[in-house]
Amino acid sequence: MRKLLLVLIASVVGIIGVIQVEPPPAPGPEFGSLDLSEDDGAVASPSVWYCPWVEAGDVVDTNIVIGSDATVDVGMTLLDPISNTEPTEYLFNMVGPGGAGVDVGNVTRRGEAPATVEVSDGPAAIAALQRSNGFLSGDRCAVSVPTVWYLTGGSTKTGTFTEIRLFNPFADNAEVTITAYSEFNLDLVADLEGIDVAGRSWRTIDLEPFLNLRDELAFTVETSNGLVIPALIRSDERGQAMWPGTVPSQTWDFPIVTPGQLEPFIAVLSAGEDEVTVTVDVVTESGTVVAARQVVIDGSAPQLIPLFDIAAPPFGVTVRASSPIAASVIASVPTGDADSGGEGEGEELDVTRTTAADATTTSQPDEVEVFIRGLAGMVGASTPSANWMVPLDTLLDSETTVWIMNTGSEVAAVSLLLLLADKDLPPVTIFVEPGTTQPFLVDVGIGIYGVSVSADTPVSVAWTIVGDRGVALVAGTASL
Amino acid sequence: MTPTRQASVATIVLADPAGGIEATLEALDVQVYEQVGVVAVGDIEVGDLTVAGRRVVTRATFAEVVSSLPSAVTHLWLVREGAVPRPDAVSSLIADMERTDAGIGGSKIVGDSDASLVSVGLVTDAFCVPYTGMDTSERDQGQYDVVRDVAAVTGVSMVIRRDLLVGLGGVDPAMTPTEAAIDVAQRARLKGARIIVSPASVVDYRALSTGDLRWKSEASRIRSILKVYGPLTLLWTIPVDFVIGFIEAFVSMFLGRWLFFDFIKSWIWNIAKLPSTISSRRTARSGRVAGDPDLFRFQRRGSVKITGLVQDVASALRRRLPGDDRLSIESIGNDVRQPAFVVGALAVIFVLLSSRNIWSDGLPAVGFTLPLPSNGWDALAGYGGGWNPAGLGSPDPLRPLVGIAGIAKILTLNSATLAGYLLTAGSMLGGIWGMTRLLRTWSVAAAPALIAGLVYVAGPTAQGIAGNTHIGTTIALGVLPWALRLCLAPLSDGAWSAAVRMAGVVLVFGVLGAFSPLMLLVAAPALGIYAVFQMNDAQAWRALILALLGTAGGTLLLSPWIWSANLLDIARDGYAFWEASPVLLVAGGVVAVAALAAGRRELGVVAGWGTLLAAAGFLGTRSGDFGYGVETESVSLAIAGLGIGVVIAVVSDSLLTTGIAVARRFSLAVGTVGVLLLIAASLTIVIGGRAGLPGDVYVEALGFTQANEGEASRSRVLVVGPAELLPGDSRTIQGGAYRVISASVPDLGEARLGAPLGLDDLLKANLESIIAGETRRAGGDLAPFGIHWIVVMGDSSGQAADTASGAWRNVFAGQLDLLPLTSSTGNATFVTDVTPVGRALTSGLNSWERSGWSYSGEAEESRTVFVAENADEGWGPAPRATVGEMNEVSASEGVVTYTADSVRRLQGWLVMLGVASLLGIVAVGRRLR
Repeated sequence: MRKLLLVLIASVVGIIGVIQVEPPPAPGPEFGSLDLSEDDGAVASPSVWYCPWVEAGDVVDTNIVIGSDATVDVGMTLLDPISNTEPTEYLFNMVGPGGAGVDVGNVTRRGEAPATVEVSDGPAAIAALQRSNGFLSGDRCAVSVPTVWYLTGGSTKTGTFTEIRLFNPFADNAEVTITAYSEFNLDLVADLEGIDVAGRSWRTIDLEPFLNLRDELAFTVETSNGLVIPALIRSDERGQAMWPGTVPSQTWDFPIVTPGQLEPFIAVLSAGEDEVTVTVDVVTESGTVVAARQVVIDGSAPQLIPLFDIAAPPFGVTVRASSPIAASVIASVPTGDADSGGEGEGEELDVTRTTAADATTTSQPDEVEVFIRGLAGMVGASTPSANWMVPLDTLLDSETTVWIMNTGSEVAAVSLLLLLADKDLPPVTIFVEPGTTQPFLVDVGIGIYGVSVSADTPVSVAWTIVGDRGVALVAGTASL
Repeated sequence: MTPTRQASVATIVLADPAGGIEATLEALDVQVYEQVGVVAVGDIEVGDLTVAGRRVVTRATFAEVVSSLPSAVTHLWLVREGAVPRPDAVSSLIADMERTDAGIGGSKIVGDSDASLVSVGLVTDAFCVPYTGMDTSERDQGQYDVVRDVAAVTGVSMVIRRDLLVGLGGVDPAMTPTEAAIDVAQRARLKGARIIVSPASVVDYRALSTGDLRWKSEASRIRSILKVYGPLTLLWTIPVDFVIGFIEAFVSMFLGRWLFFDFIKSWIWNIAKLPSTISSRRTARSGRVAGDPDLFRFQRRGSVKITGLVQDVASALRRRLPGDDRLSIESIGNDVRQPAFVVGALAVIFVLLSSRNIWSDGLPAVGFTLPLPSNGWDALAGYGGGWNPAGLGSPDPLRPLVGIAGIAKILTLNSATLAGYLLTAGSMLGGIWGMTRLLRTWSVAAAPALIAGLVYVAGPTAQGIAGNTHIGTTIALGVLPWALRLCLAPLSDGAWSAAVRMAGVVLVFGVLGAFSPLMLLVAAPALGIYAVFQMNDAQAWRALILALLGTAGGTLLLSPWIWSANLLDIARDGYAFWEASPVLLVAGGVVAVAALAAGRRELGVVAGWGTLLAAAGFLGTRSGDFGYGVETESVSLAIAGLGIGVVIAVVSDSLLTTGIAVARRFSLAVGTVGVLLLIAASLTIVIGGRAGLPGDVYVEALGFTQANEGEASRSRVLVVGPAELLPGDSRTIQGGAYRVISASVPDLGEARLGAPLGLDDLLKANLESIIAGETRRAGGDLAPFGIHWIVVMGDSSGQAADTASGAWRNVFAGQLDLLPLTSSTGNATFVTDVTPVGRALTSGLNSWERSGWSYSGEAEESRTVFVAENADEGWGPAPRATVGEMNEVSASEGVVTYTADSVRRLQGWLVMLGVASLLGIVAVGRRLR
């Protein structure tokens, strides 16, 4: 009887044990998305900016310019090309609102030296401008670090070279896959898959050996481990341009696409696989041409949309797409095959043209053959903003202009506070008519390193620098 | 009487506390060899007694005798009071000595009542320990009747040439008789004399019970070594003898003999007597014609003490093993053919094989199983109110397991691996042994009980506990059956028996609770169930009462930890769910059914009890939905294992029953298949060789921190990833687990985290900031906590990446002041690119090393040191301040220490006192009983 009772109790207890089910696996951490993609904006908090294209050697110099509304501590770290060598650090304090420019050559001069710039407060923004006797190039630096980057506007047609610089300033090694798209649609290159970029290093990949003679090239740069900040560097005999990667958007504003003599194009790539309708509105100093150009692009084919035949420069554009796309501006010296969009090969036409530098020469314009320099590129702004932080640079032999594009329906009263290194100037207010883009010429030689832009209605801002060395288009940075 | 022809012998009777002078003098009176006279030396009352018509003279000392003897005396016959020489004893001795030209001769000593052989000369080992070479019950059948050289003769009856004795400087009066006799013989051999034993000379003697104090004998023996050996021999004999003495004293504790004081006193005595020893040594060795090799010729190899000790231990073990026969020469043959002996031997081999890697490598560092603290005293001090070093530190008491680990380390002289090995292998052996003792309660035969013990300590349930890496519960497995057995075993009459039992129960329950606090709560309910179903069995109810008292007493022994512990919190921490193999589950069920259906009738309730324990334990292992956690799971596994062990024993034992019905036989056959499956499952732990514990993780993963000398002792490691891969307890932040540990590998003291304090909150806030991407300078944010490295445990990249590992890696992948380290272990590893980093950093930016449970470095006058431990008033030296939730103390002394909590320290001392008292009761009580 006792045994039976024990058996019964044991059976019941055992059965209860058997019917217990395994708990569901614990949910993983609520963090850890590698994709730190945010808007590339100046925020009122500490931020780190990544400038992959910084270089200071025997031919090239780079100015890193900082604009800030607040007094900030700035820490600049320049990597060394020799692995396991301590990076160069340059620290300084900047009184805000103000601006500062650092000639990298004065800090270190050892060629390529991708930089990170940390600022302790904000809103602040960073840009880097490269210069040599043969070119001017640069763009705003990147502050967000997505895992998938889009780069458009490349080409390896005859005489044109495209490189991608993969900058990994972080602790972890990065494993990067570059996917190329060309006029042949998806252009698979096995060697561009699984590229290792060690922590605190960079790699510059010349694409010509892998993708030779492609008129149009666009890329996605994806990291499976770690993070990188890519930049596209395009060069030809007339100059060099570079711009950072972006994330896709359905709208892009380019306040300026060409300041003058260069022929502009919009290079786009769909972020999806479906066809996308891309509409380009041209915004000139006097008004807007809505839907000046409309194209339908395939999901895996980049498209170069010529703009030089729509309006007389200078002008900006707004790009609208039916689904997210990546877009950038390329402005190059016109070549013979204008009908094909100017990027085709043909007889050079520069022998009878003049450049912006012509205005400063004392020689007879009709008699001097001028070799036109200029190749520029720029990323756009995905949305207009009422506040912009525009770090900029001036050179004695060049003209720096801030471009403000108002795509709204109201007149924009825009206040421009010039950011100087050592003094304050009263803000300048200009009015930008709706549907126009307006220039603001920056004085040279008084130490202006940026402009803090405030408007009563959202606008888009960029700046250009034009001179004997060439042309650079630089995007502004919205203050978030 | 035969007139003396050559030797003129004077007889000297040496006093013995046991007395017996009359018998001795009567025997001397009838000697056929004429003696010059008889002198009694020492405290002997002879009155008017005469020998051969001459009055017996008394003298106070041996020296007086020698100086007062007539010059005609050529030989001295030394006879112990109480010895009864046979009539021809001295004549035979003198004859053999003259024939062999010996300087010293001894008689054959025979027991006076049973003709047992007491001594036919002595052999010693190199440490002058006498050895007769005879079995205790050996009878005199003339088997040693040959005149031969020996190392020494006993002082019961020996003849020595007078001139030799004078030349030797006499007998050493400071020594006990036997040791003095050996000493004289050794010194004589140095002078070239022969020492023989003459079997024709027979002396009856009751026994060689000298009545001397043991320590004095030991001291005399050591003095003898010091006097006779050359310097080179002394160089090794003295230290080795010291170690042997220590081992003897230590092991004897477990045999019920307390020899430590004798050991200590004997050495102190020799230190005090060193000047006279040196003087005697000079006399002994001057003019020697022989050396140490001549002494060695008559010595046996090895150590007599160690040999004796091994035999004593074997005998003690044999008494504890099942079966009624005691180990003896006669019974060995029978024993080795017994199944119990065979299974027992196999069990020992099994344990040795199953724990072999712990012997060589120590305990693996994985989960909650961490290496024992390197310094036992530090661990013990930490337990007694010291600082809890887990995480960023806290004043919360350490678990008693740390205290036990400290004691184990002290007893093994802080050996790197021995303490861990003894605990784990000893636990396995103890568990098997304990099961046999427990099952003897119900008269289960030895072999089935050993099989049950084997499955209990190594079966699926034990492997489940080891898999949980709960080392404390794993070790406690070896104690649980003893706790039950001590409660259930029959109790002899008498107050001492009750006292001994009670003390033993409290001690064993205390040890059980120290290893695994929840285990303390197992015995009483288990015995309660047993008592309920054995309603009329007084023994069962007494066992329950003992268990309840043991639980209460054992709980008190867990002071000071128990006063701040919450057992319910411990029981509910985590989620209990044991994923049992269906095959083994069925096997266990089949065995239980077979035990219930076909077990011996008298074992019916026991089988039911075992089945209920197994079922209840099984339910406990899966009680996560009822709110119970992983420690409950481990303890439940132990209960289930105990139950399974009991039913296995019932089935195996019933197999030995004859004349049972076919149906029952069939049930037993099916049950046996289940038993075999469980045995096969148990044998698998031999493969790993770590007593079922998983392989090491952290030594391999964190070994890189030792790459730069001194860095590991200055810094900490932040370990992140899946909680089950982190060492010990972990904290969580937004669903991700993290843990701060000491480099290179945390020890057992760091397994359990205390309640989070200010510095822990600060670390959490910094991690939140890092996770949110608000900073890209994680290294700088973590450096104030002494964190120099970050290790992401688990696979953090690729298709098979663990979610948690990948998430943490992504957090640190995007930091600017971290550097990746190439790791062969597959764990993503980062080092901060910040200097200096230190858990104790001076205001002069020098980092101090962690040394045990304190910090030390170069003293810096008028500077302070920031100690990255949670702020606590106990840190010093003064002045102390709380800065950023950590401690700022003076750097002027070059050391930072934590002053133990006085109340907890007192409680610790009281526990030690209590344990010593209980041990004393057990030791004394067992003797008195």
